[in-house]
Amino acid sequence: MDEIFEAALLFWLPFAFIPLGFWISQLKSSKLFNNFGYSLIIVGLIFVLSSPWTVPESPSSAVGQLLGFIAGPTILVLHGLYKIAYSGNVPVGKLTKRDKNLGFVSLFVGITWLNLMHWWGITPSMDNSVNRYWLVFLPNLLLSLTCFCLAIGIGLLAFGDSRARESRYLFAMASASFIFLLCAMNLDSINLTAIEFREYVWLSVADLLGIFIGAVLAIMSFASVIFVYEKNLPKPVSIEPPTSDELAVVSRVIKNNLGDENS
Amino acid sequence: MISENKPSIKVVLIGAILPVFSIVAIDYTLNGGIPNFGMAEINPRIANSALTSFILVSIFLLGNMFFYGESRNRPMAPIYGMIIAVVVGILAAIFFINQGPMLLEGNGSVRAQLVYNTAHTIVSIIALAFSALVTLGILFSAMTHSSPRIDNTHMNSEEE
Repeated sequence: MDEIFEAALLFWLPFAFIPLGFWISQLKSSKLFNNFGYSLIIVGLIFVLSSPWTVPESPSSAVGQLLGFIAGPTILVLHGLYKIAYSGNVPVGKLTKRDKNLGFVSLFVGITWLNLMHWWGITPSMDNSVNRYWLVFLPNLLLSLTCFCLAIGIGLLAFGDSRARESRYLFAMASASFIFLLCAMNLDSINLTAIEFREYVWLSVADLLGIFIGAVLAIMSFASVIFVYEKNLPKPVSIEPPTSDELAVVSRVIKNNLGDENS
Repeated sequence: MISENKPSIKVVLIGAILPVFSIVAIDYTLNGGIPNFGMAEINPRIANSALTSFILVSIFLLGNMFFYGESRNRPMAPIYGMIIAVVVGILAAIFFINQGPMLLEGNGSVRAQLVYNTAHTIVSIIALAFSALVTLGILFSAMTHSSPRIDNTHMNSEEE
């Protein structure tokens, strides 16, 4: 089979199944559609994750390899955060203290695993070189994590009511990922030199800028259509003011619901 | 009259872009330029990234335009949206191509570059989505572990 056709059939088509399956699974009308959507996601994921074996010659299989490598730490980090969040003051479904401890362990192991993937010998590699998409993923992750945590932390301080304590955790995470970036840009790891990593951080800055420009352009294009349509909509027909009978009913309902307990 | 100092959304936006400028400034101050690396490598990345994200976000928004057209009884809305997106896309592509010999970043052919761009942007979006989830997870965990703001005794007595 042709190499490009193989990559399209065994990688890109299953990859497209994932968002398609997610979309179908969100249709509320039928349980059958939900199950079909979830099945599509699972089939797509299996094919994408097995792409390093099914289409080893295709450069696209590097994405499948990367997803396989980051699946473990990603699931651990998100699982840990879920356990920690739901073991706090939540009105329903509160988890136990044991779950909270498990969450902390899971989060710690996940973050350590991600760290070791850069500094130690478990970096995703293909054909005796570091996976090129890992060099896209890691700088983008660290840079965007710093930006998001700092922005939300500042937002908490600026708009929240006495949320300084909560914002400290976000500032701590922003600082940690920023320091990681600085260290990786100045110290060689086992598989990657600092100069190489610096290049990818600069490219990551360019990448984020490009994604921002592209997304804003797309949103503006479609928003302009909606803006023109909404502007040309006819004015809604005014309705008659409420009658005294209707006002009396409203007053009674309000009084029943907001009346003083002592009255 | 005393004016009240209300926080602005600009403060949050500055927080979002500050690390990007800081990392570039610190790196340039500490280490100087990178050998054999400059704007000739950075510009194609911005252009490719912008065009690919434009296409991916447009496809996503086009799907939403069908729902919009259906709910507001505007069946032509997706068509107009598509036409405007195509025009903007062509103008953006012409603009980026006119900036110099770019768009092929070490890939042998246009097709290879196309596949690389798509995979690259998908990986970047996965990184962005993961970092957004981690941020929300930390925020939610910090909120649920702070001391409650609502007087529970009052709520319990009401329930009784």
